[in-house]
Amino acid sequence: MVFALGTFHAAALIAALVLVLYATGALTSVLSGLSTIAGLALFAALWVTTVWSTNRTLRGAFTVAPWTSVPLGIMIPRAVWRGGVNGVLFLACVGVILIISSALNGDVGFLGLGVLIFATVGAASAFVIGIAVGLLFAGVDLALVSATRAILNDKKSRP
Amino acid sequence: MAAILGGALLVWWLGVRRDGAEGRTVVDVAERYEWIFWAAIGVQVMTGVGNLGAFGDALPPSDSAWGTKLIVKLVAVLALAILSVPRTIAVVAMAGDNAPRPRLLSALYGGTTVMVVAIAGLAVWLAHG
Repeated sequence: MVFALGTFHAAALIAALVLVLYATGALTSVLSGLSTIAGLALFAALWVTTVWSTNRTLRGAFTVAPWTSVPLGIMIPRAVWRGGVNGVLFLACVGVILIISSALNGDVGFLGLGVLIFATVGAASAFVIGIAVGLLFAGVDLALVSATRAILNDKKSRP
Repeated sequence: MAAILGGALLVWWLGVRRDGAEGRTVVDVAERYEWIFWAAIGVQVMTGVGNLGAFGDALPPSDSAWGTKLIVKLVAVLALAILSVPRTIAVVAMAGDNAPRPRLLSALYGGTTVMVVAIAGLAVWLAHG
């Protein structure tokens, strides 16, 4: 369940971003600055950090059924906090991937300044964006859990 | 895509068989399928974005006929991911409660099959311009 929800969050986020960027005409400029290997590494990093943060958010939630174990008052703040942490973790992965990419290209002149910006302004922004995305997906997940509960409680679906 | 489609068809078929596969067996197969499905969705999105990147500056604009097809496909993939979460949660709940419901599972996996076939059709439509 953790792997499924974590993958859903990462895949849906990227698919939605690509959709919005393509519809607004900004996708070409974003993708043109990214090599194929760096792009694959970035998605893999987002996938791993999101599955990890989903695991931390859902701990104790699936002992019996997906909706019986953890109250919403605990689950939503946990999702928001973990979203922020995930944003910072992903940013750190982005930094590592960009440093490796720059080093391979021999372009290390602005590395120190880049690291400083990443570690301060970047981390704060990533935390805030992560909080917003965490809250959004907490809402989406709760709606989907409610829909599933309705399906399973429907008398017509019972044997 | 083949794993996503083939697995969904298998669970659907196990659920609708007249001689009736044991409910527990259907849930076991469904649980395994969910791992494959979500891994495949992640890989599909990852490679899909890579394919778009390979177009570079030659990527057709969103207001072209090709662009409209791509937007429809992206919306369909997003819808497949969103609508698959209740299916996965239902499988987890059935496994946890030890209360399998093969007919409900076959309905959920039948829906998944229809969506995957539609997305595959869109992909072919896109590939032919």
